[in-house]
Amino acid sequence: MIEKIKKEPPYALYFFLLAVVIIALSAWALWVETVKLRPWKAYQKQYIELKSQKLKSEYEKARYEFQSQETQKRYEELKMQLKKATENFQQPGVQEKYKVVKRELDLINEKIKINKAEFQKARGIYLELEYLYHKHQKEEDKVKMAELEKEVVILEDERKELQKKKSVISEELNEFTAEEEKYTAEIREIEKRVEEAKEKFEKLSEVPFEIKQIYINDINKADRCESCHMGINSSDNISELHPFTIHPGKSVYIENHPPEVFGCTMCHRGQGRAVSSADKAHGWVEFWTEPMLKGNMVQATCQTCHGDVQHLRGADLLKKGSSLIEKYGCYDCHKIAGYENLRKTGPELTEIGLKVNYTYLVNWLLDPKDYIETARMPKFDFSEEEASAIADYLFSMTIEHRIDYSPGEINWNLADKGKALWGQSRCSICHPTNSIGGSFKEIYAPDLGIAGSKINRDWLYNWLKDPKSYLPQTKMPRFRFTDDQIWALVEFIMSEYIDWDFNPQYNKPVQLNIKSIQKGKELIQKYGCFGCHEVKGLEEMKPIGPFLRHDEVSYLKVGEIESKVGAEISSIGNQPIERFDFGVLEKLIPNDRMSYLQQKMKAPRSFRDDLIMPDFQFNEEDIEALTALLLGFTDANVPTRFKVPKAQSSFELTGKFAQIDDDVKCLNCHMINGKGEEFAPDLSIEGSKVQEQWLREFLKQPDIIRPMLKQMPLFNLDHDQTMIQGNLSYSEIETIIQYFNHVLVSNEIPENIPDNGLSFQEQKEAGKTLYFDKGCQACHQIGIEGGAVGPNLSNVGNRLTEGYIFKHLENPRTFIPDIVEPNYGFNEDERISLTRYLMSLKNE
Amino acid sequence: MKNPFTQFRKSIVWKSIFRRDNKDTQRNRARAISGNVFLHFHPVKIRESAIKYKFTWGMGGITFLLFIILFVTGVFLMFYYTPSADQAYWDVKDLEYQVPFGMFLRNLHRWSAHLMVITVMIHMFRVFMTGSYKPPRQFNWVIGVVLLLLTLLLSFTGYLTPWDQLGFWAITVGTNMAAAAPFIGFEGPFSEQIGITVYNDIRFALLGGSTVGQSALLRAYVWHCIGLPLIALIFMFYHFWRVRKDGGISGPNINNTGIN
Repeated sequence: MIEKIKKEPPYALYFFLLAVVIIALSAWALWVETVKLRPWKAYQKQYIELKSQKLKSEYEKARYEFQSQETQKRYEELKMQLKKATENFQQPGVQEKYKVVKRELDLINEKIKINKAEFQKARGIYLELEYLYHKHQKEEDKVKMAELEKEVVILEDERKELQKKKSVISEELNEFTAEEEKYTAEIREIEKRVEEAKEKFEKLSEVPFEIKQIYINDINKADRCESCHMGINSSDNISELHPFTIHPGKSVYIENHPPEVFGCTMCHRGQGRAVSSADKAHGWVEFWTEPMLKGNMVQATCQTCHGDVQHLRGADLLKKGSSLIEKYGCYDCHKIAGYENLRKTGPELTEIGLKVNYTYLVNWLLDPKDYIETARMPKFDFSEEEASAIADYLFSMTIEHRIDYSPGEINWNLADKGKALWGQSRCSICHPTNSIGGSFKEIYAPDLGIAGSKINRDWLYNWLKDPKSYLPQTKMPRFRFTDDQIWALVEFIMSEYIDWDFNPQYNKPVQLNIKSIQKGKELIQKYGCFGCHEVKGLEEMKPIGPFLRHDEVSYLKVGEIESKVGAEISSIGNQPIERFDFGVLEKLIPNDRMSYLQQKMKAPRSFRDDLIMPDFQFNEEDIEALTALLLGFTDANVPTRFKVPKAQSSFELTGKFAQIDDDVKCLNCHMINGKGEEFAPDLSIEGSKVQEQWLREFLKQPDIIRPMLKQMPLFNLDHDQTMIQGNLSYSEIETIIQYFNHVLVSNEIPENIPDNGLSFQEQKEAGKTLYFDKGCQACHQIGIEGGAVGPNLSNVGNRLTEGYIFKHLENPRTFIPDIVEPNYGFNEDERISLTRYLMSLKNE
Repeated sequence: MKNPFTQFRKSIVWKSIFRRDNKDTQRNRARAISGNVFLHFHPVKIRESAIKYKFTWGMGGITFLLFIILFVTGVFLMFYYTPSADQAYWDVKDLEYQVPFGMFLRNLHRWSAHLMVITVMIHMFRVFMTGSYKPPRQFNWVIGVVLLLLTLLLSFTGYLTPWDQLGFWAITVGTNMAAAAPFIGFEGPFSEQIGITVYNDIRFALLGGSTVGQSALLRAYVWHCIGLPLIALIFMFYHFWRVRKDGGISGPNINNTGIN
């Protein structure tokens, strides 16, 4: 029995509705897939349109030029001439002559062939004989060998003769067709211009729409940026618009870092694999720890590979930022890899009570920059009470604080002598006074503009007498002044550089009570003064700032790089944004790394109340430079092949010269084998570079080589009868010369230059012509003529060695990498001539 | 001329595949179900009350459907994915940005996985509330619990495969919990007494090492794509088969026999 089957309700409507929904969804998915997630297609289309417009106009221009009367006239003319030439060539007389010559050439070619075959045969027999002779030592073989040798010589001569003939005949033959060929080439030249433009334009339609990817195999990096930035690596700019424009600064960035090797994101950051939207590709999305850097900030990533940012073209911000870190001593409170084991930025405060007066110290603590404009010390926003408490603590640490701080009577006569000495010793190269002077910025020397109201007279005397006895690691040279000279200088400084607003209410602490001293100590501990200064009683304290850079550039093996997920990230440049505490500013400023850093430097304590970082009063440019530098502090993972580590100099001065340097601080200005500063010329190869006699005279009485820039202090001050004693004694000068001649030499510099067969006079004349032809006088001065960019060459013949000049002219960058002087690519003859000419330039 | 299709249906080829005619008889209807490998899990007859949607919520079936979706999308994802620490994350990124319908595929897999955990829970809730775990279905309830566990393990192993921070730390935490298990975890009670160390405990077995690294990724991948789905399939079919054998989908007690 069949059960009654229940009638089902009609589902047609439901099926229909669901079918509509699913079709709509499928259409939507298809649209998302092909259009929405592939925005690069639109960009590529736009780019190709722009390019085709440009190429089309170029093609039209070429065609217009081709059709211009002038070109057409020339074109027709050439065609006529070609026709005439062909006719000439086809004439029976010419043709016959041509055939005769051609036959001759064929004949010679045949002869050469035979000659070659004979030569090969002789050579084969010779080798066979040689083998037999070695095996059996038969004399007859040797005789045959000698005969063959003779034969070979004859054959070779014959062949040379034939070839000479051949070239003559070939030329003769060419003359027949020369005219024809010439016109054909010219016609081709005219036609080619149009054809090339046309081809370029037509080929454009074949360009496929596709993702353009740069894949770097060993670090598994895929950068698809060029899918939208189509023109970024091309040579001509089709549009100024983004993303079609070309890369700026190509000579520095692209040429040294070809994208095929480096990709894009290694420098720019961002998400190279993403192509589904501009924000995603640029990494401006949540959780992408390395968003694309905008504008100048892109310099940050140079540090990923380059260890030395001070000498990096195109990374000015980093250079500035790095100098700022060294100047302000950020590393004193924050650990920064690459800036370790540097001396503390601030002076030792252990004996501060002997050095300065109390009022000054309190004023200074309140606002250093307000007091002295060039001050490095930041503003801590101390109240007057707090400032006195700190001053009390510091004074209490000085055992002997009952000293005379009064300025006393000024001896104006002595002060005048001091003024002369101040000038001769070039104090103002390093020390500014009221922000004037101090041209050598890399060495920070205190502004002495109000030193008279700050410093204790006796301390100043002791300091000038021997700076190291107060501060062993000081950069101040010991000028070996006599006592009279020192007193004169002290008198000058104390009388000249006075703060007229200074109120010497109390030069000593009024009262030193235990409570205030204790409070001062607590404040010093809280604000970490011991980071920059040596403070008595707090020697063991650790710097208080957070880490800024955990590891200096680490170069990992390929496998180690990607598997580093989960490693502790602690460098500020790629620390996740969640770890930055925006405090009360969370809703007020953009929550990204760059805004945080900029705000932190602008107003360090604005995030929360209890922050302790002081205000360095950076200006906008400083903040920009420091931000770029900090953004580049990452736990970088780059393979070894990209690294450009900082050259580490293990060079140490030795012997007596080291003692002299210790005293007068040559390396404050000069650099020797990577040690020292770049203010004055590099002395690494000075022994090979300059002549001994010149060096001796120079050290006795430094003269001026580069008038516009800087001068070495006068070390010997014997022209002033009142100041007899010199700084460098005769024996010291000899020590320096000996050291230069033995240690600071280069094997690359020849002692003598090669001879090119010309007489000395001829060489000199040729050199002089070359000197003016190449426009050397635009930068260099000889006598009273010439420019002042390069060194004065009036006396160069007495100063430099000929080997150095010769080598230097080959490539000026060999010895001075960032020299302004261009490389003219002189050949050896020219260099000999120029060297001879320059060596003849001598002051009589 | 005769209809070629009619001819074909009379051929030996057709008859070797379909062993019955299509006369609408009750016997043929029953044979259509029981003679089909995919359909024979369906009962030949079913009580009307058992297929009421408000009674079953269809959650078991939906869970199975999600499993099939996961199976299919998972196979497609495997074409683009490399279980290597260097490559895995970037493959996922490429799926998202490059592969045609890659984002759709990945999202489908991910959302289905989330949903499957939820539907399994709801299914269990329904079974519990309708008392379907009671005899004679008590053993199938146990199978169901095993299937819940397998679902969670599939979810857990799949979590590591994108090789991102989330997965990395989830697996770190999860396996550290395993390390605290008694006897088998090196941090758990009694482990010292029986010589369990960090190098031979359960965590080591799960990770293939003592930290989350390449071998952990590979283990997670193999379990996720082969081991666990295979085991789950076996249990699933046993589960379905037992539904039939234990008297079909439960319903109101009709004749007080204890068997519904």
